[in-house]
Amino acid sequence: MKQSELIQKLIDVSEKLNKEAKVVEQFPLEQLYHRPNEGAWNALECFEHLNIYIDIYNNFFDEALAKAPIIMADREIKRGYWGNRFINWMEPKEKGMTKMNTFKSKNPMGKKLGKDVIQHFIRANSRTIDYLEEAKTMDIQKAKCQLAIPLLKLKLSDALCFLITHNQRHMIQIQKAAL
Amino acid sequence: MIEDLLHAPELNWKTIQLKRGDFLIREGEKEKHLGFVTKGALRAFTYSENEEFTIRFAYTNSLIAAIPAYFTNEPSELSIQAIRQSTILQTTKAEFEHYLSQNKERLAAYNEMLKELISSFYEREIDLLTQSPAERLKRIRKRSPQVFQEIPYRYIASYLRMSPETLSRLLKS
Repeated sequence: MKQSELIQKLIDVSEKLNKEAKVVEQFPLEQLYHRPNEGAWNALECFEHLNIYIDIYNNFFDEALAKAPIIMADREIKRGYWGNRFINWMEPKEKGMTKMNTFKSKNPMGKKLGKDVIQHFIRANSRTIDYLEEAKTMDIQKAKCQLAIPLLKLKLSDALCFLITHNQRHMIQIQKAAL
Repeated sequence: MIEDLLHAPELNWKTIQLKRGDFLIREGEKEKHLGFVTKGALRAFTYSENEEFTIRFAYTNSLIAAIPAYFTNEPSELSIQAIRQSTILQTTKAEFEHYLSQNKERLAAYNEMLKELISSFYEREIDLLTQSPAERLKRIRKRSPQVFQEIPYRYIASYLRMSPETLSRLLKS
């Protein structure tokens, strides 16, 4: 896939996520507090978890874009070794997802949450879309991006895919939890 | 008030697109406009002894102008720069003042806006007099949590008069 196609795909996915969030926002609160099973997150907790990561990654994207070289040609995007592993690991799977554990500091379980976390999500995700727009003119394969996992950097192209895959993964969880 | 402003036929809002790093106004220029941010984020800053100081932020749905230059017609001491690509609607100060003078309701709404603005300057003054970095961070988190969703941390650190390292340490604790 060429860089321009990848970015457009990520923008489309992110805009769809905003639309889905707006639909969920209309649900009554008790539905958003519903736990599909004991120990599982409710929809608002999923949003809060997403917000923590999107805010962190928006900062990383900002730094990466500030240093990124301007694009010279619309090249094929190739995933790096670690980028590929991370994105595959994050991808929602057809037959139930691989269970993952969350760092304690990123676990929103039991926090008192309201619908404002959905507004937060839409704002933060819209900021990611602004960065994707800006990324169209930058070489996102040459640019390196920091991760929340220390000491590791990915190509900006991989880091963008990684966060948006994470968003998609939890939006599926949100829809299941709230229905 | 903002909704009314954007739809007022007396005001000719012009759309301005800024890229990361572009200036809306530079130090030394006169402020003849009032802006409204429809997308993106900007910061107002000034230099003191060759160091940049971030004074204020604007993001989606906020009004923006270089103050006090807007009120005094003197050259601006501060510059306003886009932090990321941004879209601003701009009208002229002359047009806006004419719009306000047309009826009492508009002036009353404007008064309310000024009250909020003056209050925010006092809040900011207390921020700056607060010794503890952790306390300064706490104040802004309480007052405008949205700042942390819209503005890169390195500018928030500058706004809070602390190093980016101190801010990231405080955010983690």
